[in-house]
Amino acid sequence: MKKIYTLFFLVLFMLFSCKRDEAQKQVIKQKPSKEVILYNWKEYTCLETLKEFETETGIKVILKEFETINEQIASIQSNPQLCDLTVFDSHMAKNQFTAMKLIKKLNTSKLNNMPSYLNEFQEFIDVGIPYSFGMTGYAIDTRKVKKEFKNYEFLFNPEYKGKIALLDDPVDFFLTLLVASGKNINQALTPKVLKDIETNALKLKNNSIDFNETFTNLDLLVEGKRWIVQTYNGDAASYMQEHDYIKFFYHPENYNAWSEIICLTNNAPNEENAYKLLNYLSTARAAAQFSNEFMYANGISGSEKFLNKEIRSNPLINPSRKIRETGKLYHRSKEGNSAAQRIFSILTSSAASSP
Amino acid sequence: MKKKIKSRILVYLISLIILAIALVTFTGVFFAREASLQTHFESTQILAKEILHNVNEVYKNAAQNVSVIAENNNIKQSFESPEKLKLELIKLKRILGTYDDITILNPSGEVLTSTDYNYPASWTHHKFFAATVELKAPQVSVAYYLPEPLRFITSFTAPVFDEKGKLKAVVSAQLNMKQIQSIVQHLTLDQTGHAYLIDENKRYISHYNEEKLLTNVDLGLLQKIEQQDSHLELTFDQQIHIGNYVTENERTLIVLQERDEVLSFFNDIFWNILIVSLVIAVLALLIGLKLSQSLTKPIEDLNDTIHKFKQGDSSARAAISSQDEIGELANDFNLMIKEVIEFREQLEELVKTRTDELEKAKDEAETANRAKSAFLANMSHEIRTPMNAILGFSQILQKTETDDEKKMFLNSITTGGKTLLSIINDILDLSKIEAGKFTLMLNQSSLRSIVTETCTILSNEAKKKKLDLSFEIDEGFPQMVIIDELRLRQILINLVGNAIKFTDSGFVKIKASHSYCDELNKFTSITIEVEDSGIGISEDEQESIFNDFIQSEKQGDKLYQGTGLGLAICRKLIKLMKGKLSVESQLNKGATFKIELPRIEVSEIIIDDDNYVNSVANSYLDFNNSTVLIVDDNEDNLNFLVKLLEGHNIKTQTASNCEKAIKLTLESQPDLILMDLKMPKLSGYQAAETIKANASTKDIPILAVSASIVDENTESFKKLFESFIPKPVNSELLFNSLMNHLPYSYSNSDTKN
Repeated sequence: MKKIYTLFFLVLFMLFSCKRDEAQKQVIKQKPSKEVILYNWKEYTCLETLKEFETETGIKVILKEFETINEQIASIQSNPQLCDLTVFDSHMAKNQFTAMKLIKKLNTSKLNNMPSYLNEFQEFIDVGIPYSFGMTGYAIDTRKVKKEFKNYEFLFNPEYKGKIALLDDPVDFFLTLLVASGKNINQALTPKVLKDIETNALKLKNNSIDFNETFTNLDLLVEGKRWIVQTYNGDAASYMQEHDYIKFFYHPENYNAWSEIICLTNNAPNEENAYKLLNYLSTARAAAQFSNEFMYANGISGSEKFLNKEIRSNPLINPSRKIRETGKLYHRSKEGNSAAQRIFSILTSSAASSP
Repeated sequence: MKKKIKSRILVYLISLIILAIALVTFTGVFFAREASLQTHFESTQILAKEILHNVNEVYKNAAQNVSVIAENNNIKQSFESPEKLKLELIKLKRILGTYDDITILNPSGEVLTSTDYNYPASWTHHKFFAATVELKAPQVSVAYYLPEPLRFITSFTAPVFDEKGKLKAVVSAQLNMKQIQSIVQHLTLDQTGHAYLIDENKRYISHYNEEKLLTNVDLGLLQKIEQQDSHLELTFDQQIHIGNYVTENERTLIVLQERDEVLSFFNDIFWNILIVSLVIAVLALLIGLKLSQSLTKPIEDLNDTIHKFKQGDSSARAAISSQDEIGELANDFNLMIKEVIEFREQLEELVKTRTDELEKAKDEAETANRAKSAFLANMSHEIRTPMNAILGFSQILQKTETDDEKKMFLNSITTGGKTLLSIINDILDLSKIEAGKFTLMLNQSSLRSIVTETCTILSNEAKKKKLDLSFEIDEGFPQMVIIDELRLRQILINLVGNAIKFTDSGFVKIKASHSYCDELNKFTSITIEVEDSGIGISEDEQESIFNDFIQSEKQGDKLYQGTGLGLAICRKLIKLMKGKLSVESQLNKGATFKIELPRIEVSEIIIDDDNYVNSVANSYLDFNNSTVLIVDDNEDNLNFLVKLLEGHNIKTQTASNCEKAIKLTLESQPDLILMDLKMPKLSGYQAAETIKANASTKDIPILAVSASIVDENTESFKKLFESFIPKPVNSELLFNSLMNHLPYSYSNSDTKN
């Protein structure tokens, strides 16, 4: 009887063991990546920091650059594995680009330096690490413009016809037009408001305002071709170092503040390395290196001790908390975006770009 | 036998059925399961092909439609008027119904018009747009999201040429991916079967979970696709999923379903088969039961017949229910029973004959036995009666005779008589013990007095040989213990007597010690040692001396005559007391006999034993002027007893018949009566009966004195007599008995008359 049972169980064993899950034979292996791709604003990356990172980790950093946010979005959408990390406006990143699957939420357990993020960046902690923050304002040639401004109404002043250049970003233009029109940056865009803005836009058109990127504007200012140019505080500060006649003006109660964070793209091909670079860039030393080179504030507390003295003490680069709190972060909306695009196209269709 | 056969048949049958069912069930389900998995892989591939084909059709149509727009004359003719162009676009959008919105851009990527102008990014940096401009050919974008409202779309572009064939504009139409997803998600495979669409960047562009859209495909899945493994088996959401895929136009369509669900059908089948199998097993069991019953029933019947026959039913016969082997067996069995009965009848006849013969022999033996008993009784009586007179008077004469030669003769007569008497007594005791008729008479006794009395009785013997006879009793020895005093005294007298007999010089010492067996001191173990400095016993004789009729070599000398029964009787008596008698000795260095009596009950009655002395060499018994009536029809015996009691402070009265004895008893109320049993007219029994029946004399102790063999343990004897003294009367035994019933003390021999 025992033999019969033994034979029976032997047969069963053979039957069930002969075709075991073949799928289990496959061993999933991923080649360890030795690179990470950073997609950043053109000429806004501290190469020294990247080199140090490469030396320390042995991971090669491939730097790719964009000039406009539109280029940035289109490039990432066209080529999902274009990069691992990119710099986005913090508000847009959180409220729009995550939903659009341009970026993905961070695994905060992999981030080492979260406690040192400034308060301004705490709400974006799951989207990106702090990179920089600043304001949009105007660089003014004080040799030509003697007046002290209190707001942006000077844009409509015929006295400065042909002497004002604005940024070629529709949103930057739209926001300054809102403020110049006496509106709030995040003003509800009622038909009346839109009509007012369109009217004022036509006034600008009549004042021969042109549109350029930030450094072109500053160059025009230095060359004397423009007296008032729209730019960012850090860029202005760098020009002010050599041209003491330039001063930076921003609306004291309603200026456009912005902050940027470094985000992990949705289809990052080298995700593990990307986290390593994020951790490296969020160290106080790396953040300070960026500020020292590009004259923008970073969002890492503790970086002050690595800042150059002139940077650390420059209120234009490191504005006080009170000034920082008066700035307004723009909350992008479909209406705002449509209006900005539409009005910008009205002006640019006939506005002449600078040579 | 009966149960074994039936149960073995059942066990084999059930095992076979279970084995067969299990094998069929498991192998069947196993092969069906494997076939099902294979079918699933094949069917999911077909399904994937079908779905992907439909998806490709949508892409194809969308591409064709955008070309239609690009070539539409109304569009081409409306470029001069953005408003008109927009109206044309809206019209076409509505007609085609394929796209979410349509936009026309100049080759620089500037929007000329759009049905829903909301793209936040730069067209020129989009690959598909740049390629359209560069290649002047229709393109399809990757899937991407548009914001506000969030839409998941794919752009289809087509170049618009002017009359000269120059690129004039680009039409970009956005297809909402819901159209694709509805085709892909339309598939329903039970509860867990889903289809997934993957783009050329290995991202999900259709997934039942929207959060997964545009996320990278799991690495494991990717590897399987790259390895072109047609059998997908992946674990996600904590479940194993199986299925297949098809890749075409850089798009991959995957169909997966949870393996448990795929195989659930087989699990159900398995249980159904199992239930059916169990039903079959039960039916088979019943059939097996019936089969085993039909096989074992004739055997059981045969077995029952054997049992009946064994229990005496001679008419029992096996039923022949079949003509097979079992029927033959039953028939043979019946024939065998017939032969057995015949043989048994013959045997019974033979046994009856033999039994009659045996009964006759038994009667003869019993007659002989009765004759032997009568002979022994008569012998005992007839020998003891004259011996009483011979010994008694010899002893008396010895005391009065002064002539040394006569004294020597008297001594020889006494010694010879004593030896003869001892032989008779020992033989009678031994025969009683061996016949199991010997019972112990337990009563409260003082061991100290037993030892003292033994010494007193044997002190004269010791004195004669100038031996130092002494005893030593532990301090704190229980005063009274429950023991057969008479027999213990008999044993001690025997042992001390032996010690004196075999010691020529030196000492004989009795040592008594004890140890309590319990905390309440209710039981004690007693050890009595009789030590002498005599001739000793060689080591190889130390055990044999306890055998009947055995003496040591030296004992065998005429100097130490004896029957060789004394120690044998002692050991048997001690054994009756659950004790042990042993000896330690070396030749010529004396001997120590050790009596060990375990668990002797301690009596709570306390007596004043201050009167006892350790050395009795110089003391004699004083019965405090007690009156003893001696009854015997033999005058010699009467005189002998009177003479024996003289000098012990006893007043004696005599009666030569029972009538006189009764009268004297009633008149003088003696303290004790020594009653001969065999007397003319009234016997000693009848006289005792009369005395005990009288209230005034019923408490007078009567000691029976007889040369006959008397069973003193019978109730009738105990009722009439306190004790029995065999004839010829041994003075030691007599005094021993008197001490049990009369007040006595030890007086210094110097004060004796």
